[in-house]
Amino acid sequence: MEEIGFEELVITHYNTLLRIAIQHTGNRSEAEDIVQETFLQLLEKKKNFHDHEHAKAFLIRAAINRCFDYLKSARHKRNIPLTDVEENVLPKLSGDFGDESSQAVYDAIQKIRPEYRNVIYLYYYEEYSIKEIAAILRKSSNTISSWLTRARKQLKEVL
Amino acid sequence: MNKKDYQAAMRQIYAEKEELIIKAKQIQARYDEQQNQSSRSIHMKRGWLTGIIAASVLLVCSTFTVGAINNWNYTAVFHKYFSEKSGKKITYDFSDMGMDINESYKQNGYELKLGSVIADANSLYISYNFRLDEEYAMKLPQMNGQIYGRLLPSMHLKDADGSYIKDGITVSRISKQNEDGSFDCVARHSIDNCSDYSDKTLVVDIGVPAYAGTLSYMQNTDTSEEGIHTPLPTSSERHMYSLNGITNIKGITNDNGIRLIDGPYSAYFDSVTVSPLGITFRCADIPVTPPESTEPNVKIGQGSYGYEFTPSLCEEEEGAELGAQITHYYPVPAEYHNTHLRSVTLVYRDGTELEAELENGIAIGRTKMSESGEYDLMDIYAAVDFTTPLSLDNLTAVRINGREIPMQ
Repeated sequence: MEEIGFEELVITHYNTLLRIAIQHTGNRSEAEDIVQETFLQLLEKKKNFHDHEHAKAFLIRAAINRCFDYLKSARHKRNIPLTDVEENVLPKLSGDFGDESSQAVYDAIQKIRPEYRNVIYLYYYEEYSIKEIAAILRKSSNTISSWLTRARKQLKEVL
Repeated sequence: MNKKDYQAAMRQIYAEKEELIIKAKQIQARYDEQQNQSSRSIHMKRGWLTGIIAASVLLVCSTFTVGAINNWNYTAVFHKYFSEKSGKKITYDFSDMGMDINESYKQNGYELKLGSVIADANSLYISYNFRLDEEYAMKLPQMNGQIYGRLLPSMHLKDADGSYIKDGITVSRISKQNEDGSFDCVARHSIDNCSDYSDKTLVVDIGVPAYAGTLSYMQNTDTSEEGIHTPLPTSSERHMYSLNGITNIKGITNDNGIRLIDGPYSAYFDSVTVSPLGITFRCADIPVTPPESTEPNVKIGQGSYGYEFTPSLCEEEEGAELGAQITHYYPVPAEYHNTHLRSVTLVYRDGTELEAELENGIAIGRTKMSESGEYDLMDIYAAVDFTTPLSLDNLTAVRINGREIPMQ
């Protein structure tokens, strides 16, 4: 099977990673950075892929790790008081997301635990099975199943 | 929200194919540039590593060093740091607790003034002032707000034997911009149970400041953000400071064993320590099924574990294998531990009580496989900061989620 070129990998998977990252950063610019760093990591590791599913799993995992790194650093950001408490939360996604119902979705997603955001995305958007998500995230199916249940519960609470 | 709403919202996040082609080329170009720099850097390192003496000479004779600053008022800096964090005026007396470094370094891109250090057993606070050169500062819009990101020289701690103390991570907090364009910053380095800093060394890699990161600024009542990534030039300049002048800010420990219960969860800790700067929980060994309980408080999954109580120990790092003697670092965002660590109240002899406002913290632990084949957590320590230093004078107890624990 032929090796997939770098440009093709970017074209095929960039938007998936962008959607994952933006749910963690709440900010497109930061999300773009995370995605680009993920692809940079791919080049640095000199990874070669012959099928897109394999590449996608690697990229998703790498992007999620970078998102968690980001959250660790974003934590400092939230430590910085601006002028009042309200502004210490992550900025609302604005401008990029059109209608109010989409905004409501993003507001809700940002209120649940980071691990749950990933599972919700992989399950409901990418339509992976629990077993597939478990393989991608290198967790047990039980863990994923439990996260999904808790994610749904948290979403219900925040909506 | 149903699946359709979610998918519709997600579909709105995308980049067009033409844009992606450009991005691919940009990433490739960035990688190529990095490779070029890296080969240059390796060449430099080889030269630099020709001998310790040569390296020392290079450090001492560094053209970046400007000299010492006098009269750095570290008390004022730390008061500013804590008062901006808490929004309250700080009266805590740091006199005679810190150690002044008072040195200033300038290199192409920025000027760094290292101020002072204060510490308790779990945190080392390093104050510094940072000013970007005009060339870089010009790239930041005029603002009345904050800059944050990684205006942080790389800092590490070395033990007496020269090894790096790896249980700490450094985070930085940056003040509002001063009139002269500089920022007063405080880096906080986590460290576990250090009662004596006299044989420790602070290592500061001046030349690895990362970059001026995201900018947040106020426009009317809205907070705006701009992602401005301005890489600064790097160098191999490194400075080391003995911490032999720090008076450790003492805490009070209850090591009689503490069980905390929160709804269906319970957790056992060997000890709890309160210092003016924060609270720390320790446990040498958390079995899957803890003492006096039929319910496990450690949940083990394949490749992951979760410690479902205060303070949360979260996911392990990618690639870590359970059973190995590994250390996990996990900064715990305030919103995580606030779920379970709902309140910490200091109780004083005269009957007054003071509820501590909690900041972010860190949880660290190791895993091991027990004889029965189950995984246990070991050497847990979790530290949670207070937003403002609190006095421990005449403290008699600390109440955690309503459970009073004597502290005398």
